[in-house]
Amino acid sequence: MSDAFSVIGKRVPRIDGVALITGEAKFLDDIVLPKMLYGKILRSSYPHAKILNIDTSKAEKLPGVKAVITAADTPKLRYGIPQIYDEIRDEPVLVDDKARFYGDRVAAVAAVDMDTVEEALDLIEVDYEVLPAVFDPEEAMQPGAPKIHEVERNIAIVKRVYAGDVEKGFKESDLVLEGRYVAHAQEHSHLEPHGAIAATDISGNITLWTTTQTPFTIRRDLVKMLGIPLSKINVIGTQCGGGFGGKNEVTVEPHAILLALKTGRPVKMIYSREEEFIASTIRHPFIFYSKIGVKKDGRLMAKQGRAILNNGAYTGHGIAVAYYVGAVFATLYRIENVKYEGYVVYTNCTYGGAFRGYGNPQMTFAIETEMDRVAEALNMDPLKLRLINAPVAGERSACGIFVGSCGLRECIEKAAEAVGWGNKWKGWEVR
Amino acid sequence: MKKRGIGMACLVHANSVRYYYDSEGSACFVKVHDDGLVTVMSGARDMGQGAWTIVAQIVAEELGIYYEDVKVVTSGGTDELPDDLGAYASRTTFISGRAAQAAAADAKEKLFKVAAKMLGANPEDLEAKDRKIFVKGSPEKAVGFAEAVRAHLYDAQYTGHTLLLVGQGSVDVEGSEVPDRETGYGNSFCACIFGAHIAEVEVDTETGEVRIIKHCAALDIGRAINPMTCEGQIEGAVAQGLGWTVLENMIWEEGKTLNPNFLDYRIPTIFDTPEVETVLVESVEPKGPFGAKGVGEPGMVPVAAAIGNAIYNAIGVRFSELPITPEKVLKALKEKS
Repeated sequence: MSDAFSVIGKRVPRIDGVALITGEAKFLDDIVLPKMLYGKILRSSYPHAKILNIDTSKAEKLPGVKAVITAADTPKLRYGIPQIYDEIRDEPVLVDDKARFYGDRVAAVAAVDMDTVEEALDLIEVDYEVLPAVFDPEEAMQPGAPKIHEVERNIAIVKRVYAGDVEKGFKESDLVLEGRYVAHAQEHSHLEPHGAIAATDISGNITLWTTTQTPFTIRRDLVKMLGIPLSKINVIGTQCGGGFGGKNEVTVEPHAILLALKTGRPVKMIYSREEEFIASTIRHPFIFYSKIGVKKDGRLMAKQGRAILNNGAYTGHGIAVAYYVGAVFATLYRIENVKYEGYVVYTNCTYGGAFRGYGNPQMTFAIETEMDRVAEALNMDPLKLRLINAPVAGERSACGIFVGSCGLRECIEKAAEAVGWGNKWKGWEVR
Repeated sequence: MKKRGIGMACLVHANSVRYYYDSEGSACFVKVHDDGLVTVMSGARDMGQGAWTIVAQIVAEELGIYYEDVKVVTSGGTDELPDDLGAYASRTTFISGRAAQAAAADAKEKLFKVAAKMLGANPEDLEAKDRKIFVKGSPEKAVGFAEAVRAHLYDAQYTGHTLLLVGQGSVDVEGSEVPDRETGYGNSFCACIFGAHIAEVEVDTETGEVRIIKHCAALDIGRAINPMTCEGQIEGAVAQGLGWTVLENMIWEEGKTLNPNFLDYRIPTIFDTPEVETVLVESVEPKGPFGAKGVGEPGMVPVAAAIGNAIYNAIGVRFSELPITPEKVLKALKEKS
């Protein structure tokens, strides 16, 4: 840490540290507004089912219930997350045709307290026509698999990253290794669940307190979902109890706004832990096929990868995750010949989202295990294999990523020094 | 029998990816008060990672004041805060931090014009440090930071009673582009962060349990604005990574999650989390604030591969499917023998 700086590089205590550890910090659930109602979403009890009819009359008659909303109360808009890739808009605020995963959003209730809300949810009668479902992405890609959205073989999109000539690279290699890897789902498990409070005023302005990581982007998303002008919504991010990418997602915000507009009263909605697991996004489960070609001296000659993303019921971040994985695949080591394709495949599972690493941990699990296999096949120290292929600052990767700064070599050497790799690594024969 | 092994894995990760929006930018306002304290209005979002602390450090450094002199607005809304895409893609320190630096630099430039008149010097010859503005090389020719601020706010001979000293900064990342839709070619990463992890594990060949003894994470963070929060991010990421690798397991039956709670879906506790040794490598990123890069995600990336490689080193079995549960380890050992 440089002495030229006064504050940079210093271990100053966190600005909100004392407020957090003393409990003074106020989280979303600490906010209580006058006349505030509570809300919750009714979720599908089937992974794939047509909605034939929703009867809300009994719920609406329950004392204390102030509003029930279904798809009929929402604008007929579908939304998708990436603004540039606007062609995939597959997600509704509340489902109007069918539920696509166990936990899909069917209706929402606002009432004077949570007990009444829960009772009202039980009183909503939904007629489902259960449809065949598919949960494995490779099965979902087969002809004749249950169709989740109006796309062929349930493939939402294929993102490619390629450069050079992999076939030539494999031919010039002394060793070619192939592998298939399966990386599973993960729940973000932030200790504070998703939540929002929406309030409206007489001029039609909406104030939205939310646990989001991204107030400005969520405001753009809400415009797409609800058709409300951007500047009408003031999004206030409350003290956030962890996100890890999960709070990039819109969850209860549109429902809280619609219920607040319908009742004229503030509405608070917070996910239960169970809803976090079944209805909030997860780390995309991946199947990753890898093929690596190297020279005897360890130089990487060609890399080929195919990722099959279990997208789940909706695309969300799937497109960008599929691209991003290809870009890091092509950038980790110096390589000329790369071919990557990422299939984003619908299934009737809980859907994937942004999660710390954005697909990179899934791919890196595959490719860095393969690098270890390569080192073993070459009878080479795995550190040395990485050092041989490490890029340096000023280079451009195969897919055009400019490496402005790069301390990979130093990281490898310093980590080895810190753990005493030289003493602990006994070669491939010994274990 | 308990067998030990060691394994390593590397990573690259982006700081912000130009993919979603036509801008990857952030903006920031800095308001300077007459007592020399400043309020920062940043769109940066603190979700527990320490973003507000980093923003305050950057503003204090740029203005030559103390960390304690900076207050960050933590309860603002999109109505009044400057725009920021938010806390994702390990972009907050890198881009929101740069916006904060630019806003502070803007306020400093305005203030230096006043201080220069007060000192009879050129603004470009001035420097700010320790709550003072002084002529470079002649620290005795100095005016207090707060004194210069009051002159700026109230003394007509300098600015004409503006009653306002606000710096604004808005940055996008130069040189980054949306990749080609077909080939994926394009400089979409605003910066690259690299790293190497080494895991040491102990495998109980009777129970199949994998215990991570020690995990070393060396990350090229550009520059550590606050080494403590960097370490916190990396340690947390390693814990989350090992949870994913050996503990956390969502069990689905016909699309229904059967274990939607922390009793049946186990995230790591302090008892599962090993000593994490973090090594901060400072490569100084030309585009980062004071050379810094973002460190939120990368610590998570190579954990599973490093653990898997260490398990192979310990027992000679490779796992190509996560999570690596005791059941899978026992089954694999049985098949091997």
